[in-house]
Amino acid sequence: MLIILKKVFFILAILLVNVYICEYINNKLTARMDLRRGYKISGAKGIGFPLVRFFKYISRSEKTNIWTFFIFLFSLLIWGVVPITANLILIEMDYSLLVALTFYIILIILLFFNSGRTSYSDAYSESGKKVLILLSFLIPALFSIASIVLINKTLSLKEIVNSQHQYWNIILQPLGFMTFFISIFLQFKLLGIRGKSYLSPGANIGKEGTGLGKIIEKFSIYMIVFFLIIILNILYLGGWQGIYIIRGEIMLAVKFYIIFVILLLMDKSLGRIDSYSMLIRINWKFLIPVSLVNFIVTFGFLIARDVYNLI
Amino acid sequence: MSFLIKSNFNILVTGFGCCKQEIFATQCSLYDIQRFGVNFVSVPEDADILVVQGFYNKKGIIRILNIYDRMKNPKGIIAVGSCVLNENLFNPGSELVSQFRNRVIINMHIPGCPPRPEAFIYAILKFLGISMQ
Amino acid sequence: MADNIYNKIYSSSRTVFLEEIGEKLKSILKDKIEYIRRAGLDLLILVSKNNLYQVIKELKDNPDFKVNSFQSIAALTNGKKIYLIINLKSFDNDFSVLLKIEISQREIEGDYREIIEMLAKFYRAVKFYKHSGRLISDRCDIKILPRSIEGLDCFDLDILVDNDLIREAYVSIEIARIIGDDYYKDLKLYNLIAYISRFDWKAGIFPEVCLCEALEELLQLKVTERAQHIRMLLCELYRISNHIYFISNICNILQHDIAYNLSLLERERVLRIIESITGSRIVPNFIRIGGVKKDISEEIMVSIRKSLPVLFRNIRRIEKIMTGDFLLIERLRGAGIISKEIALEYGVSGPNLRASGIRHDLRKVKDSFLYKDLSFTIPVGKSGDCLDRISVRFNEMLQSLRIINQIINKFPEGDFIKKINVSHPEFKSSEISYGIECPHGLFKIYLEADKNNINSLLVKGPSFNSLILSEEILAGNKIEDVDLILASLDISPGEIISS
Repeated sequence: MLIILKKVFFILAILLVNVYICEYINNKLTARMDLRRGYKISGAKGIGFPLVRFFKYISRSEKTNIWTFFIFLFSLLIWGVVPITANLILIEMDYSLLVALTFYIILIILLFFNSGRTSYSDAYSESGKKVLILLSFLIPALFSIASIVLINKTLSLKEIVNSQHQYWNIILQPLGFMTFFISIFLQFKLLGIRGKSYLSPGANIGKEGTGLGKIIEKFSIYMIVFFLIIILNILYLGGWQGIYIIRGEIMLAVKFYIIFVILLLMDKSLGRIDSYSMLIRINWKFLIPVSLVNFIVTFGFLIARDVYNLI
Repeated sequence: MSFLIKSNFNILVTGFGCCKQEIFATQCSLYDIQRFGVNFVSVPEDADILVVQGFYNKKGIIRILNIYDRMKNPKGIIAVGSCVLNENLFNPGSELVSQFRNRVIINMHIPGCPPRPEAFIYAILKFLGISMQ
Repeated sequence: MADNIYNKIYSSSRTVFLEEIGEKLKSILKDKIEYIRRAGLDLLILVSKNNLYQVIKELKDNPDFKVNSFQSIAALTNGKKIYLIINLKSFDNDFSVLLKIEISQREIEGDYREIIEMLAKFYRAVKFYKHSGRLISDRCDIKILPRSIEGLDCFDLDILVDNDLIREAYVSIEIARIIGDDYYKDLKLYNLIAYISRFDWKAGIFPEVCLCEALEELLQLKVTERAQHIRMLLCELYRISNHIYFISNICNILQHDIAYNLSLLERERVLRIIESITGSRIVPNFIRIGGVKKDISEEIMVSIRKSLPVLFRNIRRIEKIMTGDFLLIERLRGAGIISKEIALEYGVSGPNLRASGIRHDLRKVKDSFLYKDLSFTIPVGKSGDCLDRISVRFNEMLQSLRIINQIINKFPEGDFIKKINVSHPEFKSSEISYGIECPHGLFKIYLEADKNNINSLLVKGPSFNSLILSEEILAGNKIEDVDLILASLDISPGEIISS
């Protein structure tokens, strides 16, 4: 029991520290790309700024509703299933990939319900459409995941990482990695981590909003992004596999931040995509066919190798 | 409490007029008002301060008062430009301004037609009590 | 049809041409009009209310005139009489007509409605005047209140939707009606010049230039070459500043932050130059009757010469960033298409008209400035969508830089102002209509004066026509494109306050 509590504490600590660092990077990096300096206030180079903003949000009371509680719950529940490192996992099961994906879908749907209840109820909101599109980006991701599962012949995330001890899956599945990455990027963009959320109405709304609900929403968006990046690491980039004398945990952190920064830079250098027809076109005419082709090729290859012993 | 507001300050700009482009020019990287933690927002509920500038007729004044009512405490008003400050061509008789002043308290005036972006930044910092370097 | 307007009429023969048209009109509409005379750019026709229908029918249907474009309608008081001024334009024959109608003081409202009803039979653009004031707020699906972006902040928008697509859109400018009819009454001339730049604060020099040139034409005053060069230089600088601000607004809506910040930086660079010349950033108060307020020193010329290549490079860079982004291009292409016919019918002018593929620029047509000595091209779009409107403005900025370069290289010596007695002017003629190519389009002033002072003044900006047009072009587009399309029309709120 004590071990589990210790693990929970560790997981929470890691998540909070990373959210803080990511928020800080987010502020500074995006400002630097604008040729601005970013927040200078509250501490050296604005290190205390995320904390100040947190307290500012809390200081202004606003009604929270039941959805925010569920969002908070599910955004933490994901980490019970997804291992951050080999040891930091609460529940070990054989189907952890499926369970994690289910939690993820539930979380996004909850966010949709939450965005429907904003205090600016008279404002026009397109959040329903956005969430549907966001969910539709799961389809190419699922195809890519399916081909990974076929190769590694397991549904457990831990096993997938362990089976990459020789070479990473990215070498076997470059197309799958590409589609998965683009789908992650578009989800990242739709979630609006850069301060401008797509799930709520208003142009600059990411900087707005008050109360506990706002914090939880922001936290859960970070959790989704973390989940996506960790899953990408686990599936394609070897997870917590160490290289030579470098420990696996450090490798994972390095890979995590590289991907996060790349996503941020891509997000910043492209404009807002709120032309839905275009998003749908990208998804159904590019991502889904490519990932499907990848899946079919993998499937055919495995059948040819394992069933007919051709290769 | 005041420290929190000082470090993360949300401004809502209303109305239309010449001053607007000078206010929004402070967003650009040359003036960079964001480094003081000042953001421009679009929803009254999230704003700490209301910037009143430009031209108003009777309908406009009513709208502004509505917006001010929707804001949460603590809140304040900064009046920018001479249209709101005194009597001129676009504000004949200054009835509307006196009507406006009777309803709310204007915390700070920024004179000029239009005031320069530096003046706006200076006023905001003075409002926050941050010393300029 | 409209493609060859530009080459048709040479500027030198313009006065003769207008007088010819006037003679022709006089002979055809002999007993229906009271008088016809030339007022600056336009033909001024005084018509009584009863004959108006026949006059407009004749003007529109006769192939010699073909007055097919509705520009504006405004009320005007001169002494105790009230007039309606209707501005119509023929793009085929390239002349414009001012119809002046006296209406009785007792039934202003009724007469106005009657005339609007009558005009609506001929011109589609009048539809706006019919419903304005009485909006359909109770039965609209979406009501969009003014947003904080410059240009979208002076009107309400009521939208009826059909799933994603906009079925009908209605614009209301109730909150933007600020100025009364006779604001100019007690003003001195120099006060008026100081005030009038607030009518277009996105490019403040153009109203001043327009008013001063109109007054100079009334006074029959010839401005020195140096003063004209300074005016042209400032006009082009303000044109660049306005267009780059337009680009920054578009980037703000598309949330393309890098291009947004870069364009705001370039705007500051241009405004610094302007500030070094005029001493003020956006409302200069620099033009005087007979010249300009201050001379340009040699140091300023050197600094302008230094910053021109930097500006050119950076504007090209912004253009490259924006056109290199295929997502952005995809978004802009096909949004808010203005076809040639609709653009002409609604009386749109400036870059919006040029983006629809019509090569019409007052700088080339009219010879008031010394633009005829300079070499520059007029960029034209093809389809008239948002992408075309943006690329036309980019090209126009580059052309403006080219013009500035030429102006600086041959800056003439001489006086920068002709001193006249402004407090007691003596006007030679009584009425004038004057236009100038401002960054949004054709900025127009109509004024009537007796011997010593101005009796009536009308300011008509091009943004109003764009705003009316937006009702037409929004229909059929997607909801998420509303802000983009409205911003791409480059509406300047200052031009709407006087209507």
